[in-house]
This record gives sequence, structure tokens and C-alpha cells, in this order.
Amino acid sequence: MNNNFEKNVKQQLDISLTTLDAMTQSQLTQARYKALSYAPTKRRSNFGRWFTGLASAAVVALLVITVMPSLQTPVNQQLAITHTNQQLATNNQQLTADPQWILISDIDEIELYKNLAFYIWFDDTVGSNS
Amino acid sequence: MSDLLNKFLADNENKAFRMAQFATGNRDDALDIVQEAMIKLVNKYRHLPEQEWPPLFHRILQRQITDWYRSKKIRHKFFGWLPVTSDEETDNVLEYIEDSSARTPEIYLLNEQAIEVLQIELQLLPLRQRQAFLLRCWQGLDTLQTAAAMGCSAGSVKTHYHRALTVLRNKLGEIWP
Repeated sequence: MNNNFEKNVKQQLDISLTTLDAMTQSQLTQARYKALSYAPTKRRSNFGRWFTGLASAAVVALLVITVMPSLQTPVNQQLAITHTNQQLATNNQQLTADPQWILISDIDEIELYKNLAFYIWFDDTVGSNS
Repeated sequence: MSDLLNKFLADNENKAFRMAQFATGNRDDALDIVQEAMIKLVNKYRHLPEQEWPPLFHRILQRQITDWYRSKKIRHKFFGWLPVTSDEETDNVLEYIEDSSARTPEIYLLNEQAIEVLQIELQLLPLRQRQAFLLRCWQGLDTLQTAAAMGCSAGSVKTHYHRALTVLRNKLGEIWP
């Protein structure tokens, strides 16, 4: 009894599938195509994924290398200048504090002191003649 | 893969639409539900073996229908006081029944009457009973497969199915003994 009833119901329901109007059928087809459009036609290979990842990493690394130093340059330069100025000031202080460093540091002055007798004589001679 | 999926969806779309239509009583909502179920199957499960698609598709479809019921319940809770538009009033499942086959007028009349009655009675069933009945009787799933599709236990499926069958047999037993 139950089996016959179920068979009849199933048969009627199957018939109802053939009675869909054209518009509904068309919309169902459109819905199917829309759903299938979400599936990529060709699956990407692993090589492609690795290549994309490596290329992205390379671009990021290049940006880091090129952009980061330029961003940090002013700070570095300021630090370098400050350091250089401090070093020069220290050196000058040392040089002026020790006269020996003055003599050694200036070649012209060394020559002057080497020929000091000549310059004194020359000065006396030229000065007396003039 | 895409051809197989296309064939699977084409073979099941009409039945899925009818199931959604019995549940919602609304053609447009039924179309939305079927489309959403198709999209989810394609998006998430297209890479799985072909044999796994039917239970997954039915599970997705039944979940979509259940979600539709929940959202309808919420809408009714907050906007139930609003007047119903004329479109909603006239949006009846029976309006869209149209014969496109080459059956004779006599058979058409008999079948049309039977289908109309069946659809009305199916729509009057509670959601879970209707789901259990359609999946077991129409789709041909066994108890465990139906339980998986409905997301409940096998015992619940048996209870829902038995109750649905009893109600329908009482109402339609005279037409289909």
C-alpha cells in the first residue's frame, strides 16, 4: 500500500519536472552558467604559483633595497656630518694644544723653518738695499 | 571537469528548483536558492570526485532552504506589520505550472489536477517533514544519506518521513490508493 502510494507520488513529482515553463527553464540555465563561470577553466599549476610568489617577493625586496636607504639617508648624513665635525673639532683642539703638531702638519711651514736663516738674511739684505 | 559539472547541474536543476519551490512557494526565491546552491557547489566542491557531488548538492540545497526559512522568520518578526504587496499575494506556485510536453489533453488534465493537489499538500507540510519526504521518496536517498543532507540524525529522518507519509496518505490516499 505504502509502496504503491510512494511510487505514485514519485511519478507525479517526476511529471512536474517536465512541466516547467520556458521562462523558468531559461532562468535555471542562466543560473547554471553563472555558477559554472565561478570555476576556472584551467587549474593553475604549482609552478605558476611558485613563480608568482617568487616574483612578488623579488619586487618587495627590490622596493625595500631602493626605498629604505633613500628614506634613511638624511639621518645617516646628519649623523656622519655631526661625527665629522666633532672629529675635526677634536683634532683642531689637539693640534692647537701641541705646537709640534702644527710644525709637522704644515709642510710649507717646515720648509720655512728649514730655510729660516736664509730668509732672515734675505730680508736683511733686501730691506737694507731698499 | 567543467562538462561533468555542467551535466550534473543540468540533470539536477529542475528537481532542485521544484524542491525549493515546494519549500518557499515562491518562484523567484526558489530560483535564487538553486542558483546559490549551484554556486556553492562549484566554488567549494568542484575538485571532488563526481560521486560526491549529489549528497553535497542536496545538503547545500537543504541548508539554503533552511536559511531561507530563518530569514523569512526574522523578516516576519520585524516587518510582519507591513501590508503584503499584491505581487506576493499572487505569487503562487500553481501559476507557473505549464505544460511543455506533448501529452494528450486528458492525461494533462488528470496529471495537472494530481500535481496541483500534491504540491498544495507538500507545501502544507512542516519544513523538516517535507525535506525528509522529498529526499527519501523522490530523490531516492536512503535514511543515512537523507540525515547527512538534512544535518540531523537517522532517527529524526525516520520520524519526519513517517509523519509526512501518514499525512500525505490521509490526504491523497483517495487519489492514489
